[in-house]
Amino acid sequence: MEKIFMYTLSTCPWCRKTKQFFKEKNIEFNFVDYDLAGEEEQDKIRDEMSKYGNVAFPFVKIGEEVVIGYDPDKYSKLCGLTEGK
Amino acid sequence: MTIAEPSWVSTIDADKLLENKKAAIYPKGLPVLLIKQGGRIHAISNKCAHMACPLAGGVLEDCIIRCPCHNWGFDIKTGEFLDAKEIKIQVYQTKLLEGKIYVKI
Amino acid sequence: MNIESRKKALKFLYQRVVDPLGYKFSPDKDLVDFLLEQEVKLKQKHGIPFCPCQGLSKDREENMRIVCPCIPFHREHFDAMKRCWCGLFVHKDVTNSDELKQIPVHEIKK
Repeated sequence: MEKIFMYTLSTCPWCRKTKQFFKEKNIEFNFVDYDLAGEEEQDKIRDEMSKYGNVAFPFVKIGEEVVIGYDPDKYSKLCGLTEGK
Repeated sequence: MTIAEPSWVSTIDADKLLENKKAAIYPKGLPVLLIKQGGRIHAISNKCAHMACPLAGGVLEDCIIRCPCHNWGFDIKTGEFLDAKEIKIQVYQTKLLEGKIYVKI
Repeated sequence: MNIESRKKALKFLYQRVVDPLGYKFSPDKDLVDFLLEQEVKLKQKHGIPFCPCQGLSKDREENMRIVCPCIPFHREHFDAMKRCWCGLFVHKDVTNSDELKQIPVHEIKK
C-alpha cells in the first residue's frame, strides 16, 4: 500500500471527510492540521504545497501522487481500490 | 409606510471639506461619506457592501476607497465594487449652494 | 450574542453579497450550519470571518482575499465548480450540491 500523508485544516469539513474516507477503508495515514501548526511549520508546508500547483486543502499525498481537494474517486484509484466510492 | 422621495439636504460648509479628504455625515439619519477628489465632491454610502464597516476609516487613492476592515475597494464615482461590478454601494448626487454642500437623499 | 445569533448575523450579511453574484447558500443545511459555526469561531479568534477551508498566510493582502464571501476574488475558479471552495455557496440553479466537486484551480486553468 502507498504511504499516505495529508495537510488539512481543523475547520474544514472536506478535510474531515477526507480523513473519514481513509478511516472507513482502514487505510493508515498521517496528517498535519495546517491551522494548528506553528508559524515556521506553516511556512514549510506552504513551500512544499506550492511545488504541486497551489496551496489548498485538503492536500493528500498518496505515494508520489498528490490530490488537492476532496475527491474520493481519485483517492480510490490511487490506492488501488476497485469498488470506487 | 411610504418611502419619502429623495430631496436635497443641506450638510456641511463646503470650505470644511479639503481636497483628498473625507467627512462622515448623517443626512436624514443615514450614514453618508463626503469625499473631495479632483475638485469634485462625491457622496457615497458610509457602509461597506461586504459587512457594513464604515468606509470613513478607509484609504482613499484617486477615485478608489478601500474599506479598512477587509480591503474591499469601491469606485467613489459609481459606487461599484472593483472586484465584482454587480455589487455596489449607494452614490448620492451633490451640489453646492451658498457655501454649503447639499446631498440628494 | 450567542453562537446561533452570530451565525444568523453572518448569514444575513452574506446573503446580500452573494445574491447579485448569482450564488445562494448551499441546500445542504448541515454543511451550512457547520461552516457558519467555524466562521463564528474564526471571527472570535482573528476578528475576521475567514474561509474555514483555506489557509491563512503572513500576507495581509492575501488573507483579505479569503474573507467570506470570497467569491469576487476567485470568480473564475468558483464559477467553473458552481460552488465556492468550501461549498457554503453554490450557483442559484444548483439543487443537489452533492454532485459538485472540489476542483483545484490549476486543473481548471488547463
